[in-house]
Amino acid sequence: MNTKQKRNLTDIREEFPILDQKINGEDLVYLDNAASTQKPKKVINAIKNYYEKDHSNVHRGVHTLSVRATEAYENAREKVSEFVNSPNKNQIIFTKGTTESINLIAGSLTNLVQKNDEILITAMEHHSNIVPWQELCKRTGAILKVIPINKDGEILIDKYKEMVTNKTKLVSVVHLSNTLGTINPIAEIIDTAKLYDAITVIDGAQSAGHLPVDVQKLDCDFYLFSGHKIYGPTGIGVLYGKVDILNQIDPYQFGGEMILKVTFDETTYNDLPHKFEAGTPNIAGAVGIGASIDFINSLDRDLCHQYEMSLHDYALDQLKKIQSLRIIGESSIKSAIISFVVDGIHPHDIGTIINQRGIAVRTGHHCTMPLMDFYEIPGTVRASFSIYNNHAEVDKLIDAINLSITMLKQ
Amino acid sequence: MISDLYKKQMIEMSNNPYHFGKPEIIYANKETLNPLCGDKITVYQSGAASCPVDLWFESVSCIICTASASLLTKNSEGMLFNDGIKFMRHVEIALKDGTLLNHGLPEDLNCLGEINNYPSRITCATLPWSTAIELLK
Repeated sequence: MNTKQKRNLTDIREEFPILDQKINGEDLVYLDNAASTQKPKKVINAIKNYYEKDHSNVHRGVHTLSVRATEAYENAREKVSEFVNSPNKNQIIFTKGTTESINLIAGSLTNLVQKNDEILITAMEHHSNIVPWQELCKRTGAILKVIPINKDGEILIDKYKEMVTNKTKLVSVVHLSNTLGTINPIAEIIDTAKLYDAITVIDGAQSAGHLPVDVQKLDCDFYLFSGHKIYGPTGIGVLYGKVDILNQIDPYQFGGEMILKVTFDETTYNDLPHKFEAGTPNIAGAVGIGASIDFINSLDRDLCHQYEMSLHDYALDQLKKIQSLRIIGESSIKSAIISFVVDGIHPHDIGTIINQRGIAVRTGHHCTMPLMDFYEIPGTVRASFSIYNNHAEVDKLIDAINLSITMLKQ
Repeated sequence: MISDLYKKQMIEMSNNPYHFGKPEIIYANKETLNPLCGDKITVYQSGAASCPVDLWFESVSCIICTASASLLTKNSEGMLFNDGIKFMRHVEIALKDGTLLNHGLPEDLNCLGEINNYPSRITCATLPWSTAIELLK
């Protein structure tokens, strides 16, 4: 670790006020970043300033505050557009989060999906990338198929290539598994799907904050992510879509903002992106996600990734020394997420005990119940790292896990 | 103190739960999932409707849930159905509102007395009881 990196990381930690507190009398060790990252002052202040100085409803208002609010909202869209290298900011639709983004697509695709069409997902998907497709299949008679994985938590890519056929209407795959940390070969997956004109949807909830995203290079039809996992606020998410398909599909919700003209006889829908943003949007959330992107852009992302992986590798080495502990998901291409189980001890019990040491991890099925079934476990303990964590916190985690094992295996 | 929650008695009970497994004769059974964690418990009533309460259980669950289920099967054994349901509702409410120690309930239930200090774990303790109530009613 070089001097510059140490200095930068110290500075970064200080930008997150929530980390400076004690939980149960111990310094907070926040290792639940895959569930939600903490927020830097820059994001908190951007939201605070918006409400203190610029808030009004957006679009159509002629007064100064409405103009300011509209500018703030649309500037955020521009930042998101640049963040994922979208060709046009009108291809960025704000949603509540990744879940709503997927629901928007699944809810709007009914007219493009027919009986016996096939929808492919993987065995490692979050419930939010399973259930909306199940519902679409119920409505249309399409068939949901699951791309298998191996025990290391990697997609069986050859099997996937066999599964994609002329019947494949859509392929929806997680970029970075929230449970396993696996980074999936989405470029290869998208390229294969394109051979059969299948629509491609990439769930970027975990990846957008950790990996650079270039939707034009990927050539995916949709890319989705949430604000709160990239240091931004909850309640705001993003749907990037290609223009042609966004124009083909129906709106997901109806009401104000999304119309050009309304009479009692008929309604004409607005242009992109407003066609998909019915009602007053989450303006403060958009301001927040814009600020979070400013924050990420101010960092050396390669350095951040290297640092997070140094924490991951260090933690993995220490965890593997604990007898009776088993790592779940050992792909060679991973992000800084580690899931594990301890034989004979339920993840919830470990989570509760180490919380007494101020350590926050996530325990349970992580909204991936089918994946838990695959590994034949009820859940895992998941430690997920971010740029503000440090190696001393990993040591505390290991000590606390050993304590819980001693305590519960008495 | 975390050791107040994970009392030795509770850990021992979890390691050797009472009436764990399927009874030879199953009158009825009820399976419940804890959506928060994915834990699963199945509670069985052995014998017939005219028999007293004789509960058994199988679960994939944490220490708290397993120990709580063990306390359920042990303390309800032999009760008449209506009395059993009344008792279970009493315990379930006491677990939720933190008054378990104030109602003259069987002493071994006291090992769950700290659960109210851990709000995220209350469902772990109540799941066997709510499942049994659904089963018997």
